[in-house]
Amino acid sequence: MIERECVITVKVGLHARPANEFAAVAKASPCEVLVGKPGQPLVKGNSPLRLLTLKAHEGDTLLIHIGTDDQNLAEDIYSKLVATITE
Amino acid sequence: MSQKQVLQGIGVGSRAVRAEVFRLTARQALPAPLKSASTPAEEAQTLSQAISSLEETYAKKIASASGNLKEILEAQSALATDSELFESAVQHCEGGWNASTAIQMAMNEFRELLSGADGEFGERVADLDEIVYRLVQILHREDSSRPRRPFSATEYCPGCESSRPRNSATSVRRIST
Repeated sequence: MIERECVITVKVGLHARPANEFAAVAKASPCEVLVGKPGQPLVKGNSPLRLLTLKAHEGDTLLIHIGTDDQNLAEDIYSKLVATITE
Repeated sequence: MSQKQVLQGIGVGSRAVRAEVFRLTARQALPAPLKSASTPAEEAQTLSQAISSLEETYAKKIASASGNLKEILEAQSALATDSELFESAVQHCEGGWNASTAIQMAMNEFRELLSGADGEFGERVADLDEIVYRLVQILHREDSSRPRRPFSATEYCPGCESSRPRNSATSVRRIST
């Protein structure tokens, strides 16, 4: 399991289209992906609706939790997730 | 002397336009909450079929779209088929509500979370409304064709209550008096 923070750099924030891309990566992942703002409840990363409700803007920090013991797999998923919300 | 009336909505772009505005026919109100005479499993199945039908509709539009429109349609399709939405609606079906009511209740939970949000996040409430409206249309087997547009020999801006990105616009109408 890894848990890391990243900063959103796409201008529109975690808006419908980035949320869709993020959720698509999470859905394709064989493990659970949770995401949220630090200090707030995490939501399922494979749900674009839940992602929208985070109301995460450009410059906001997100905490991404990837539930697997396979460190390499987790790193791979993390990098793909981050690519959807960074420019 | 001229009067300027600013009509606000969700436009597909931020550029200003100036033209006659025709208001499209207002859409029908969503049906009132209704308990079901069927089993929750049957209602859930009905809802599942409606979501699949809407997904197919989006798929056809996506296939013929490109660029931003394609991405918008893909995002809307993803929202409509979100398993979290369906699972929430199923819980309402288990509470005795019919599929139409259940999906409205389920989406309303997400709607409330987004309501009051600033900027584009708040505007996404319109997308959620649009998805629910389409699903309810399918569930009630109503005509889901586009709002009728008027015949006009000149260019015009369509305006309506619907906030579908393709159909709504931020327009300025200038009336000479």
